[in-house]
Amino acid sequence: MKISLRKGILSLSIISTVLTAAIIILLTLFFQGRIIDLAEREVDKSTMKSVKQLSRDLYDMCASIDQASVLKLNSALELYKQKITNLGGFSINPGLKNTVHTRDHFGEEMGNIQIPVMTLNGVPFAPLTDMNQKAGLVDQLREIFPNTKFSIYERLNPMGDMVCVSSNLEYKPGVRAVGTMITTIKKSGKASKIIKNIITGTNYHNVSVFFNEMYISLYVPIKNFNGDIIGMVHFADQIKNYTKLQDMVDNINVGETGYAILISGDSFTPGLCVVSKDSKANGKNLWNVRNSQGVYPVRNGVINSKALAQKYKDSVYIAHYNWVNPSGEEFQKAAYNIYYTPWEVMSCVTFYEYEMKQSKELITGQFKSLMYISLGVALVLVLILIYISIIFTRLLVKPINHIKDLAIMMADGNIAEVTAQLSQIEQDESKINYNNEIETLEFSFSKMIGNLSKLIYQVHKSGIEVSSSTVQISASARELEAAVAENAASTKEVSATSKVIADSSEKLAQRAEGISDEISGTVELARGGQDNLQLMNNAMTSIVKAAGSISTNLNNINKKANDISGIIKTIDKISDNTTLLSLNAAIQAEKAGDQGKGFSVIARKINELADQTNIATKDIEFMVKQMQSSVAAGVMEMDKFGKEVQKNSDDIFKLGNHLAEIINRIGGILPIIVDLKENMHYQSNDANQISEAIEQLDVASRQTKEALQEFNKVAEKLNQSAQGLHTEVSVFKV
Amino acid sequence: MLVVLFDIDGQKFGIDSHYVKEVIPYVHSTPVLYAPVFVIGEIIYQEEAVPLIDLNLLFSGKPADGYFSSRIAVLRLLNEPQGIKIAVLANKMTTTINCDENEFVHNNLSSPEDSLFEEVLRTEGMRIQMTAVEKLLHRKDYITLLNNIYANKPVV
Repeated sequence: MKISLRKGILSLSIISTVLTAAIIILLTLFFQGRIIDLAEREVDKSTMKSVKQLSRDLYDMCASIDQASVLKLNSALELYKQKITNLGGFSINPGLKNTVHTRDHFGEEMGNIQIPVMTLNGVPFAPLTDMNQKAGLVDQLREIFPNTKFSIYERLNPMGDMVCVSSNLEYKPGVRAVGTMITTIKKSGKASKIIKNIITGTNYHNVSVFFNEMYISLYVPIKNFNGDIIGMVHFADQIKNYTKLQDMVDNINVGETGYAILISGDSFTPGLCVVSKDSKANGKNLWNVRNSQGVYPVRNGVINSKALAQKYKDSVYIAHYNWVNPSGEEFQKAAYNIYYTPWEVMSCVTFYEYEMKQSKELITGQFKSLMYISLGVALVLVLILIYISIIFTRLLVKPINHIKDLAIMMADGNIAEVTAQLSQIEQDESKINYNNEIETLEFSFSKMIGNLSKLIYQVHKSGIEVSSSTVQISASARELEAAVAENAASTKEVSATSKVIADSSEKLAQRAEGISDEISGTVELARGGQDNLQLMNNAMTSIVKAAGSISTNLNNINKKANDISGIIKTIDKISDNTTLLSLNAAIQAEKAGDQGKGFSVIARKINELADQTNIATKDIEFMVKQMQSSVAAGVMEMDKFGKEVQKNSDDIFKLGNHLAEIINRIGGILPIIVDLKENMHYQSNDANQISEAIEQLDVASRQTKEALQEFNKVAEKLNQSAQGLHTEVSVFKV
Repeated sequence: MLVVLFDIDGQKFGIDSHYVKEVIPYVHSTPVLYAPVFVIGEIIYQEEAVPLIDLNLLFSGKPADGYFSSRIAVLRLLNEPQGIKIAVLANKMTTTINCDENEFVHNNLSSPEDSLFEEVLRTEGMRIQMTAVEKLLHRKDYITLLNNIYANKPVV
């Protein structure tokens, strides 16, 4: 299939754009479901995590408050101990009786009882119930810790049942909780942990519910002077007073209607709502609330979270259940529960699940809208890209079409017209931008046409030249033919000359043999001369050795003469000293007068003797000096003679070497002469062969002549071809 | 009379042996500061410092050779009560000669006051000029010089 360039480029652009857009749209549609699922899952996960965290925060708040409260109650205990020490001890006065109206800690009336009076330092506790009346110890303690409630309990029996005899805890507004009973065995039939600890003399800390209010409590035994436990004191810190806990519960919002709540898990008051949003449900008991399916959501939540807390301290128990709202409709709810064991309280964050679904639907809707907008934008972009492709295709195709038209004109041979149209195209190469392919193509096409034009012109010209050259070649070939004929004559002459050379070489070979014999004789003679020179050299070496020996002996003589000279000097010295002695002897003899005359004569004789000795030594000294100079001259002469002999010996040695070299060289000539002789024989043979070759050359010349005639015919044909080329090239109008 | 002979520049000279204490071999002398040129130094004779006069240098202007035959004669001044000694150096001081005092003739070539050789002896074919030792030793300048030398005082 063949399509135009314009259609090709345009189709390519549109296909690539539409295909890309289609792939994007298909991918978006394909992943839409997955992305929405993923988003929903992430929302669920995030919600769950947030709600879990809220539940944990509430739990942590309980723990913080508990710690703070324990510190506070311990401080109050210290103060109480101090007061008791100051005021004196507790005791029971069995002689005095008080009537007390009793009730349990839920407020259920239990009737009047008579009890022995409990005293502090002998002062009895009056069973005051009116808050406006001062009640001694408990009110004194309250002045220091205003938010803490204090109650004094009296032990009723060995079992440990206790009844409150003095308190600032209110049973109802303005009425003190005097008469409140804490029994050893609870309503549920279980033993009271409070009583169990107190009667063994141990302090006990828990969270207790009194009249539907929750208190962090500390129970401490009261002992009399004998150490018997006669009652207990109760320090109570109302949880409601910790406004941070209430604030936290008030501020927790999950979805539109989700909330947080603290529910008691204590066996006395299970299901009691301790802290609720805006305190609306405080004091309500939700233990027995159930849905249409007969499920007790609160009861199940408390039991399951308590069981979980026994295994894992702060784990969250997540429950899903149906809940009937105030309008009587039932919806599915989720609750995140953690059980705070020290308080026996469940922190619960709960919400309707359909509210979370609404959030998810909102996100999904937003995502779908975004996807549709993206698709719309993609379509618009596709249209814009197609429009741009058309414009660019036109820009690209236009110059190529122009070149195509020029190529057609070129095919028709209208080179001159093509050249005229190309004049509009940039001709300066330095201005060409090689990154622009179209511009480069135009310039290259223009350059190609220019070069082609020149080539055709050149071919045209060459055709003419070839034609004239063939004519010239034809003429030259004829001349060559004549020259070959001349060559044939010359070769005959060369053949004759070669025969003469062969004869001469043979004669020369015979002469060389004679020279070879002569050289052999000369070498023998030279070898004899060399042997004589060797003998002469040996003699010279002996002379040099003898001269060296003479020189050594002369040196010894010289040394001896030096020794003699030293002896002469000694004699001279002795003679001189003798002279001096005789001189002084003569002087002394003269001074002695007549007595010294004889001695004077001896002195003079000695002086004369010394003089003669002196003269003799002078003569010997002169002779020795002469001998020394002669010996020195002899040594020098001998040295000179030795050197001369050595020089002569060296010269003879060199002469011997030269002679040996001459022998070697002459010996070397001999094989050359032999070679020469052989070569002369060869030369003679070669000359004969040349003669034969020349004859063959003559035959070849004749063949060449025939070949040249054939060549002339070919040249004629070449000329005709050149004429044909000229005609063909003439089609192009340059 | 015994005369000790010596040689200066080929001529014979003599000293009366009475003046001669001893003839000793040539020894090197120690130079003396501020002394005249012909006083070539001092020698130690019998543990005594004695000035040495080179007679060759004094009479001919050339120093003595210093050969074996060059000798030093230690002279003693006969008329001096202190017994002042000087030493003279001369060449070929090797022989003596006995002569009679009458053989001496006066040297007419110089004035008697200045000449150190006022007498000449002619004997055995030789002409010997006798050295006037007393004049040599008594010359005022010499004595002053010697005193100065011994006193280690510079000559002005």
